[in-house]
Amino acid sequence: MFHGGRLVRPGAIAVAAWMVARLLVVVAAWRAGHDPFAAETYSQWDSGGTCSPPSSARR
Amino acid sequence: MGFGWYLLTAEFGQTLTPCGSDFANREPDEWCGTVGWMPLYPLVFLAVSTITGLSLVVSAWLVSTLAGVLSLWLAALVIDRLSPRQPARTASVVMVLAVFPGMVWAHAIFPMSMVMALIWGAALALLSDRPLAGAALFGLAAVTHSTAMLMLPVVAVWLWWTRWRTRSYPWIETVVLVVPAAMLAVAQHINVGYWNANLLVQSTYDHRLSVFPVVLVARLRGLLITPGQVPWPWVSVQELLLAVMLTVAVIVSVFAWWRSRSAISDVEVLLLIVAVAAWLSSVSFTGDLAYWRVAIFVSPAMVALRRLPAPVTLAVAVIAAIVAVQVAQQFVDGLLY
Repeated sequence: MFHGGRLVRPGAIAVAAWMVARLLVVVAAWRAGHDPFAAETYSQWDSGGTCSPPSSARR
Repeated sequence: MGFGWYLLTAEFGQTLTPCGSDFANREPDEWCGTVGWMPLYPLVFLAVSTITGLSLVVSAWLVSTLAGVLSLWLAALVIDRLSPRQPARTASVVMVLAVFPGMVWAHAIFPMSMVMALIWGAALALLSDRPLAGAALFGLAAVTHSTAMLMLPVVAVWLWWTRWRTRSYPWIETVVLVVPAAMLAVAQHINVGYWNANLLVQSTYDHRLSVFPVVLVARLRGLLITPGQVPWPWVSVQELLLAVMLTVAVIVSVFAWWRSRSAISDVEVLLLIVAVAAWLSSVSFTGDLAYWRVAIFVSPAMVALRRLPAPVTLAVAVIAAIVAVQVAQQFVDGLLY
């Protein structure tokens, strides 16, 4: 079993690393001229590809 | 702004229809629909949306974010288990994982962070001598993204290989491993009338196994970068970086194994072969496969980097971050899909 320290320290490392990565994504969105804090900015994973849903399904 | 298959799945459930005229570049007799995409991620964010009252888009983003933090936490626990009391090396490897090629899709409305949380959770369960939980989590990963479905045979072989020596055959674990996939087939039959509906839709996009060298050569041709090319093909740079990072991880692991056979645990072997299998699958499929979205499946191999000095691993993280931010910018600009 883990004791507290062996859970908390990896947790702190994970949060710090995620925040650095998040900052990079925010900078990328900002440089591209999009709202970095809008969830919709990150919903365009298939927005122009051949696997895209039909236009009638889009809002 | 895009409106993807996972949001459609959460809103309309599993659907299967002839492609018809709604789908550009598709033959009318081909199959289209949400059933071509794995359902666990949209199920989870639909549940979050129902409970909290948040919109589907925000709920999906929230699930991706929380799963992303959770996946790094579980990865840190796995690395800490493999090499205890080396916080600098653990932190540097976790940093590499956070900025790994394709990392923007772990921040997007896409199931990458959730599938990685399940895989790292499975690895931690196996390290904690809980093979049933490990098999269950791998099984759930398979119905979160189809690349993880391809890993099921690899995990099954590993389970039998590690238990063969003690003659304690993992029948129950093997059944648990495939239960989510079997449940998916049943759900597809109930919802749209075909056990293999997911494969019907995927075949529409010509996603099928091909002769390995043919696809590899085609991909290598794609890596050729023409000076002045606009937009700059950062996914090609990412692809090259991914291959280099995997090669380094494999070399470091083989060297450690060569020095001492007991230096590499069975779980570390599993993480390596899962990563290699994911990379091989990405160079073995034809069709309009946007392989750059699923590069993160190769990240489990990075546990090997804990054997390198922390500054070296951090240097790898810096290089990966420089590429990641460029790919992320092209992603939010809608240049990648």
